[in-house]
Amino acid sequence: MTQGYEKRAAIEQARRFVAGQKWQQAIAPLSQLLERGGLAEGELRSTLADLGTAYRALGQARAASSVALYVGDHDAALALSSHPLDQARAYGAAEDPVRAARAYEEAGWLGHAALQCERAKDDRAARVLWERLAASARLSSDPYVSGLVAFNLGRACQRLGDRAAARKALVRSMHLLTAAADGFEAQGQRERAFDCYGVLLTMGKEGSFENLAEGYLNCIRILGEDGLRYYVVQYYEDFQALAMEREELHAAATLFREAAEYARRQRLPYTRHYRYRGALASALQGDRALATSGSADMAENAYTAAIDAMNELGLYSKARELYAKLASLPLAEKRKERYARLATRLAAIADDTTPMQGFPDYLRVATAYPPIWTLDVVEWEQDGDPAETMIEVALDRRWADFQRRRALLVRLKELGAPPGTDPAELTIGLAGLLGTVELYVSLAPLERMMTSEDARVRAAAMHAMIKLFFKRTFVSVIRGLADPAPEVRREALLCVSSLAFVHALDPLSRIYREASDPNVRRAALTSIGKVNRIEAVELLVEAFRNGDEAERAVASAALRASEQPDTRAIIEREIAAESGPMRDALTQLHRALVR
Amino acid sequence: MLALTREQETDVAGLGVSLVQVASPMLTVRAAHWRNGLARVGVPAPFWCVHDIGLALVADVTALAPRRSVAALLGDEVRGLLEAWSKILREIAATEAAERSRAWKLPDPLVVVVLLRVIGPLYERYLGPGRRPIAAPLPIDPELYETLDERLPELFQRAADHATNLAFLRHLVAEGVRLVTAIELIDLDTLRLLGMLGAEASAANALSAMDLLNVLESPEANDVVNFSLDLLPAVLETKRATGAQTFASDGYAGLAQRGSIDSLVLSELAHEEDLFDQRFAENQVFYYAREKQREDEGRCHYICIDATASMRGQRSVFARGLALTLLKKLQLRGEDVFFRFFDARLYDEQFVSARRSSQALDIPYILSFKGERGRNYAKVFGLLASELARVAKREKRSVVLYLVTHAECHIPLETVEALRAHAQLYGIFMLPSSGELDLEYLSRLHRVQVITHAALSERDARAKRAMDIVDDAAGEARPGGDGERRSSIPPSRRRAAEGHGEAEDLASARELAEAEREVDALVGGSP
Repeated sequence: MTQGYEKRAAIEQARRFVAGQKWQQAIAPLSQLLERGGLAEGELRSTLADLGTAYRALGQARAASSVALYVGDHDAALALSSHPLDQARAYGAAEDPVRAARAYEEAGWLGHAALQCERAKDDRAARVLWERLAASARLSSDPYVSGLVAFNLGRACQRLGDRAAARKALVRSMHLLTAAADGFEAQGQRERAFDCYGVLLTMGKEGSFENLAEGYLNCIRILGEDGLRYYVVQYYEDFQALAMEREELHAAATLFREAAEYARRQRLPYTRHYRYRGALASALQGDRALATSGSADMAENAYTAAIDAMNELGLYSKARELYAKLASLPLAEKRKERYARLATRLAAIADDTTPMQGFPDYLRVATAYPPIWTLDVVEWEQDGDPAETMIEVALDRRWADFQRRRALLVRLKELGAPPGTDPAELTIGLAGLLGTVELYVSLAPLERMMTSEDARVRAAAMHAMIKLFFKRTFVSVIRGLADPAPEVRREALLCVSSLAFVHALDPLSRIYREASDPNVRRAALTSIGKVNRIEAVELLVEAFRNGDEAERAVASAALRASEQPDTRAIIEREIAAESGPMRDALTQLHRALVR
Repeated sequence: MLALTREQETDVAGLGVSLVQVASPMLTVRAAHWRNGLARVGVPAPFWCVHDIGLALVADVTALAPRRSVAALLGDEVRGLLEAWSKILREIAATEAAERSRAWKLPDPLVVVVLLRVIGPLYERYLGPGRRPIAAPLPIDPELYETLDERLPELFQRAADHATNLAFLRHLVAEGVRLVTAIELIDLDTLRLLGMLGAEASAANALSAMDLLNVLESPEANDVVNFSLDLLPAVLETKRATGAQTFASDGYAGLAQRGSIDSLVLSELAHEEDLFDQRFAENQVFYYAREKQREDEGRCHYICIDATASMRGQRSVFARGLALTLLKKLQLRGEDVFFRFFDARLYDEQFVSARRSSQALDIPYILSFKGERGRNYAKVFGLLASELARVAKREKRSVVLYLVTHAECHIPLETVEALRAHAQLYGIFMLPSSGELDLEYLSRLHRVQVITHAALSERDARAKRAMDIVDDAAGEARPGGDGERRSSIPPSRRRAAEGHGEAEDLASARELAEAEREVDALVGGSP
């Protein structure tokens, strides 16, 4: 009711200002309407039209062009702003990548230009642009982006059929990305290392199995460490399929076994399914060994691995068949007799018919393999500019309407700011709006704001991050906790208390272990208590044993509320290892859990 | 006598349902030790079960019957279950695995691992999801078990609850086939390998049970074992090279034309005096020569195995099997060998030397090691280059670096040059199913061996290729092999060397051929 009333009031107010040609005053209620949403289609259209008119009347050509672009009027957008970046966006939106590329090149954004050339299927021009970008001085201090650019260059060369150049660029990319991944991991930025391995994996999909394995297994490792269980299973599934396709049966069988073990540890219902598929892969490996080389011993190893799995699954009829196969191989007589005897032993035993549930398609995430090599080059080139970052969101219909509208507002606020606006005030306002977009892409501009010399700007950026539930957010949070300004530290502390999600455990643990401020440690511990992972329970128990009184209280409360099935067993183990008052305290905690 | 806690009493009282009876209390002490080992890794299976299965693996278990002292206390249901359990135990005792393990006299750590392998999954299934029990360690006190039969009735009656023991007995009886099959599936070759390496296997004592379990449980490790067993018998024939010397120490080695007068062959004195003088002046008289240790050639070998995910599959099997064999070969030849895995890190080195008998191969480590990180070859080999520089400077010894890796191991050229400055580089590359070898630093290696995917997937070809490499690396020609030592220059580069390539290729191929000759001379023993 109130919202409806406010909306009507805002519409009325905007109409009055527009009718009275008080353009500057009209901007605020029109922006408010866009931000709040809840507008009917006609209302939205007229709001945007009014906003465009207002900016045009105010001489804010770039803002007016952005509104035109948002509503799909490319010609108007082109006519309104001659800024090369705006021209590029307009041509891009108008499906004219050739002109878009030229405009980006004019603006000095070579990566964007190269991507537009690729869109226009002009690989020769794309290659030249990637080569120019690769030689850019700005890249020399950033091995990660250099690696991505080299990857893009390599792919362009590949498409052009220049194998030697492609190989050279891809090898350079490999050097840079593997070194970058190692560096990121050493700094605790696993999610960024994941991106590097994602590129390596793509290299492997288009090339050698070694890169495929390197990329996939490291991605799986990182996803597993971050507790992203369904992603792990999806990655296992995809890699297994590729390994089978490439006839890397030995590797495939190992992958199935590892997936089964992972599912078992994570209490996912797919253990039997993967164990079974592993057995089938091993059996196939045995068949292949016989067919290609006639090597009975190698086949024997593979069949034995398959039998081991079938036996564990209680699939005795399958184990029997495999024993029968073994008994028919050209092996030593004694061995063959033994296998025949074992086959007979299993003859009368019924199979275990427990169902084998596989990973369902509906759990697969369509965006599991983002094209990092372009996304991160684009982000690097935009260099944390809020207006440029947000226009990408505003024009991309895959995002929710409310996010697109808010993204547009960020751009309009920056490009349409009245002359004489205090830059710090403007940035603070932008930070607030960026937070409301609630997308990963908001992080880059906020991170740039965190480098501002003005503590108010840094505090506003920190405040905006409270809704950005991404692991990368913690890079800024950790910096914010060490900020000289108390208001920034306060906002960072609020972030620590709020940002509790499954893959935040790693940075939260780091904050807990490394912070000297007891308030920060307690806040981190409280958030850790909200993460439903066994590693979180382990850490809480550690805090209960070794923390100060306040930390023990936080840990105790979190452990009592824990939904992890292993919590009791972990505490029992600790009781067995302790003595004296700590044993009593743990016993008391254990009793509280049992109740 | 040691007082038992209540938990320990219940565990020991459980022996009332054990069937294997042994005369020596020390065997029961061993069983307690095994049970403690299992409990330490979270599998506190009932003591009686560990006792019965474990003893079936290490001792003759012909006498299977309920203990006389408690027989009267057992109900009809228990007696029926024990009868079935006795049949299962007889089957276990008759398995090939049990026969072999009795013959090989398995040490306790291995018994624990075998038990973990067979009881672990059964016990997990028995417990189902949810909390896991925690067992108190059993006392390792022979005195306690010596008088066990006398005390057992009292303990058995005093233990309030036998429900757990009976439930597990029921479970074991129901799962008898699985249990016996699991024992049948124990990889005997792994046990054989540990036995074959004799002294080295004693390193297993120091290893955690989990490391060994990984080896027994992992088909990949079993593949490495089988591959190693194809190679090792030939390698174990290797004898340390000896020589002769003239000092009056050690045994006689033969005759020499140099020596001291006390080593003179007595029949020389039978010559006429003039003739003797002439022979003496012309160094023609014979002396007894003595054995001497082979002189230190001043070399050490670094074997570096790629443990990145890129090595997955047959590549890893080959690399480890080859490394194990090469290590053994070089060790038997009396050389110092450093072994280490690498990914984005350079892992701790293992040092093996024939001169230090305490240094032994850590087999489970080699078989089951898994890399933890991605690749960072520039960093890793940069570190290795610095280390080799230190070794070369400190010890004044020449170094041979064996690099066992895959076709996408891209090391910066300048790093390869840094390595080359301090070591002879021997590259062994395994190709994937669809790959080819195209690394820019190949021409800078002194020797290159390429193993194709086809060779990796065929037993004889794989073993032959590995033995060729081992012999080549040890500087020995293998009789019955291809005879001549083959050039390891990749065919495309060889064509270039024959004059059918670009000028650059030609130069690099010639350089490679030159480098090959250099390393031939080095591994052949000449300075």
